[in-house]
Amino acid sequence: MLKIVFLSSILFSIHLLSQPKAKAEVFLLEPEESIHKVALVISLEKDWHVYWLNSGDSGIPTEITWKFPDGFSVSKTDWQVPDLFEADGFISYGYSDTVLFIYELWKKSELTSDEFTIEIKSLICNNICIPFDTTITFNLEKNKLPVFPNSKLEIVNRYNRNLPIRNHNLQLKAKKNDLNVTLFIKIDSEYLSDFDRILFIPYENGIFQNTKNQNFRLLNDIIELTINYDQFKTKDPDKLEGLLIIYKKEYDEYSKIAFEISTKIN
Amino acid sequence: MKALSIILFSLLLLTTSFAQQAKIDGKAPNFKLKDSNGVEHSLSDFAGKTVVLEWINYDCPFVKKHYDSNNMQSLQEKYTKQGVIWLAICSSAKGKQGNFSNEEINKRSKDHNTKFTAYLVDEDGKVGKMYGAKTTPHMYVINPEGKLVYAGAIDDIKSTNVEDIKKAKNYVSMALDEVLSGKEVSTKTTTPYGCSVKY
Repeated sequence: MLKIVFLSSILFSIHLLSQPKAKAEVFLLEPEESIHKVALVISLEKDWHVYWLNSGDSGIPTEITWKFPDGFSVSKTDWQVPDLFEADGFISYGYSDTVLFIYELWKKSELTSDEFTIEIKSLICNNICIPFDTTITFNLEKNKLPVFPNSKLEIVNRYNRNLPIRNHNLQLKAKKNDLNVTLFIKIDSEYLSDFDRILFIPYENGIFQNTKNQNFRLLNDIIELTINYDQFKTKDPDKLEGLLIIYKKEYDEYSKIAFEISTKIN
Repeated sequence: MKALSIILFSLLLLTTSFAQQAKIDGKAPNFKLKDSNGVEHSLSDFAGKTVVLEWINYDCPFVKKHYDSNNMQSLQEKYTKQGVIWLAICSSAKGKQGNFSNEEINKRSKDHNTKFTAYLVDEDGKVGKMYGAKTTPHMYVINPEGKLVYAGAIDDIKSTNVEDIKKAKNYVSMALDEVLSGKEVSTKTTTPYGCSVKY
């Protein structure tokens, strides 16, 4: 009897492993004469995640590559601010649940074809990892691409809220030390209400320690943030490039604002 | 007096914990682990030899990429023939992916026709954490003077695709060739990629 139970549990595990844990779909968001907005949606099963452009301490960065016909151009991937996943003190960056990427496709001249291909190379993980590589081919011709369902518009709103702010007036100064870089941030007081903590996450992996907590001091309107190097730092950086995330806490509710930053290290 | 003792004790603990952290160009921290046959090995047993540490989890797709393609075994064979000690270390905790009985480890190692010197079991993860092992695989090279001279990825193409192996630059091979010919390792650190170590 025990043997049967054991065998069934193994078969069940094998069955679970063989199930797709993620799927990728493409929808048309806004069809227009010369610009089309296209939504790439990666849906993950509960407890699974896919990685950001910097995967952090494990995993691999998600790669999205477009192939498109002459006469078209496609906007770059806009990455939402990632979530942090912690396992045994190691941190990785990525997304769970439903991940949206919005692209703009510009028609520049007469077309030779209207076939588009998106190649996704990625890894999805919960307590185990599975490669998630897929290719989607579609045409923009009428009725060839499903229209993004109205019932899912909240995902678009969330995407817009979760993009980093690129045009900002943060004043930044970064100073190199032996074991870390100190980043001085002069910040508008509006961002300091309900301020809880601040975190820098780099675009390039291997230079700075991936962590969910970096030491900081708040002196009037200047934040002094300490960003430690990785134990096996791959290079001496001359720039800090990545996201500066301000976490706010109001009545036990956390929210975050992220800024894309690029500043020279002196 | 009591406060002073506490401070001194904390400082001692802090110093010890820093001393135990692997560092490039620093002395590779010693460790003692049992292999899949129950035989104990210390890093210090291999003083004067070049040692490779390979973090392993047979069920990780990145490890599978290098074993199913015979890439890892070829490297193991090539370098152990030149006197290199190759230690595969598994830091998967009990009940986590990659943690197997010794019988299962030996069966899988035999099926893969592995050529490592030993497969060491680090179930409590102490050695993994001492070396800052984050992924499987995560590779380290220790030179005959006992200095850690390489830490990072096996190669420069972050994928699970076997086809990428022949296009990739193998950092471990590069470091070993340089160590074996008495040269300074040119690339000492890279970013490892793979599954998280299942501590």
